[in-house]
Amino acid sequence: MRDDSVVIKGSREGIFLHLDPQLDFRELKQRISAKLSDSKDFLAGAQVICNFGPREVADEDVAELEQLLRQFKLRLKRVSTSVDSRHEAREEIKMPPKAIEDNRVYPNADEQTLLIKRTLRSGQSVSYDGNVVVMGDVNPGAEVVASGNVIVMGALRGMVHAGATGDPASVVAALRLKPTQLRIADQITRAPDNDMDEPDVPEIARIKDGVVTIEVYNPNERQARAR
Amino acid sequence: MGDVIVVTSGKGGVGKTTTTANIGTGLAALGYKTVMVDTDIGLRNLDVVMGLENRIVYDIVDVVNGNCRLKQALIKDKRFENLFLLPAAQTKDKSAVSTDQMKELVSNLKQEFEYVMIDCPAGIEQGFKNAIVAADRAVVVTNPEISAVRDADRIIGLLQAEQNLDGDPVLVINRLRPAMVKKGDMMNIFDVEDILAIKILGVVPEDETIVVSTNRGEPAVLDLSSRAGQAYRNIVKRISGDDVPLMNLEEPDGIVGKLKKLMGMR
Repeated sequence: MRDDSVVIKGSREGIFLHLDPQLDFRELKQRISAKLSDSKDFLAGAQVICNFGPREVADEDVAELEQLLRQFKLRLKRVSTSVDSRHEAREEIKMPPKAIEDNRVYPNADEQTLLIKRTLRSGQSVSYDGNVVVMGDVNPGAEVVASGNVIVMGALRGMVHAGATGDPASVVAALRLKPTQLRIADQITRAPDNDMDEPDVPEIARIKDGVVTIEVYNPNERQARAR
Repeated sequence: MGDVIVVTSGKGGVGKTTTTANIGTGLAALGYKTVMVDTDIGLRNLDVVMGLENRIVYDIVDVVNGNCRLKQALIKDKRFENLFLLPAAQTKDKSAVSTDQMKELVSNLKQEFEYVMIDCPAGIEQGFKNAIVAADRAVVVTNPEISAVRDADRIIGLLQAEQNLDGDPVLVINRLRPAMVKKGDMMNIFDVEDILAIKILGVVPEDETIVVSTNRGEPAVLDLSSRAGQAYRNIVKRISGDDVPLMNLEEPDGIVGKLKKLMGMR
C-alpha cells in the first residue's frame, strides 16, 4: 500500500512537502525521514516548503523539522498551514473535481471566454471567437471584436463589436458604456451628436425589436423575463 | 480633374492636421467638392478634429486591401454635403500602405473631387513618402521656432526633389505670438521667410479657440469670432485664387491695454 502521509512534489520554487494533517508530529517525522532517505543525495541542497494542511503547528515542531531537514542537507524555506496561526500562506482551496465535470451545473461550458486583465490602449485590437471580458478600460481607438458577448469591467470608450459572426442575441455591457461605435451582429450604432451625458451606472446594450437599445444593467431583470 | 494638395511639415505638432481640417472645411464652405485624406496610419487624428471619429466603419487600409470600395470608406461631413473624409487606420502602422497603392487611390479620388487635401504624418519615412507621392502641390506648415524651421527646411529640400510637384511648396506659419515677436522673443515672419525662401500662403496666430475647436470637433474656420479661423479663411481664399493681404496680427488693445499704454507701462 502506498504511503501518502508525506508527499514530495518538485517545483520551480523548491520542494513541496505535503504532510498528512491527521498524523502525530513524531510519526510524521519518522515518515519524512524514511522518505528522504530513499532519495538521499538527489534532493540535497534544495529548499523545502512544507505544507501541514489544516493543523496547528507549534514553533518547536517547526524547529525540529528544520533540524531534520538539515540532516538531509535540505533547507526549510517556508511552512504553510491552512489554519491562520503565526505562519503565512493559506492553503489553496481546491474545487471538488466533480463540479467541473458535471455539465448540468455549467450548461454552456463549451463557450470560450477570453479574459483580458488590462486596459486596451488606442490602436490595440482584440478579436476572439467567443466572449470577451476586459478588466480595465477600452480607450478610444482600441477595438474589441467578439463572436459572443463583450463585458467591460471599466470604461468602454473605444469600438466594440459583439456577435461579429452574426449572432444578434449578443450583448455589450460595461461599467461605463461610452463607445465611439457599438456594433452588434450587423447593426452599427453611435451616440447622438449632442450627447454629453456621461453614464454613471453600468449599462447593457442589446438588440430589441430589431434596434440596438441601451439600458441600465440589471441582472435580476433579465432572469425575471427569462421565466 | 481635381487639385491634390499635401499638408506636411517634418516636425510634429506644428499644425498639419489642424491646417488640413480648416482648409478642407473652408474649401467646402466655398462650394468646392473636397475630400480630406488622413495618411497618419496608427496615429490618426483628422477624424477626431473633424468630429467624425464615431462614424468610421472602413479606413484607408481597408480600401487598399480591397476589403471595401472607396465609396464605402468615405465619410460625409456633419455640416457640409460636399465635404468627405477618408480616415486612416488606427490599429495598423505606416507599412500597411505602399506608395503605389497611394498613387492609385489618389488618382481615383481626383476623378471625383475638386480638391484632395492630404494630411501628412510627421517625419520623413514611409508615411511622408506615401503622402507626397501623388500630390500636385505642397503646403509646408511651420512654427516660428528654430527646431520647426530646421525641420521645415529639410522637408522643403525633399519636396523640391520630388518630380510630381508643380513648382515650389508654399508656407503656412502657424502659432505666431505677436506680443513675443514684438519683444524680440520669437522669430518674426521675415526671419522665417529668410531661411526657408518660399512663398508664404498664410500666417495663423496662436489662438485658444483652436483648442476648443479640436475638443468639439468643429474646425475654427467656421467660427467667426476666432482670429485663427479668420487666418484660415484668408488662406482658403488664396488657394482658390483670391489674393487677400495678410491680416494684421497685432493683438487689438483692450481697455486695460489702452490704459497701460497711456501710463507708459507697455
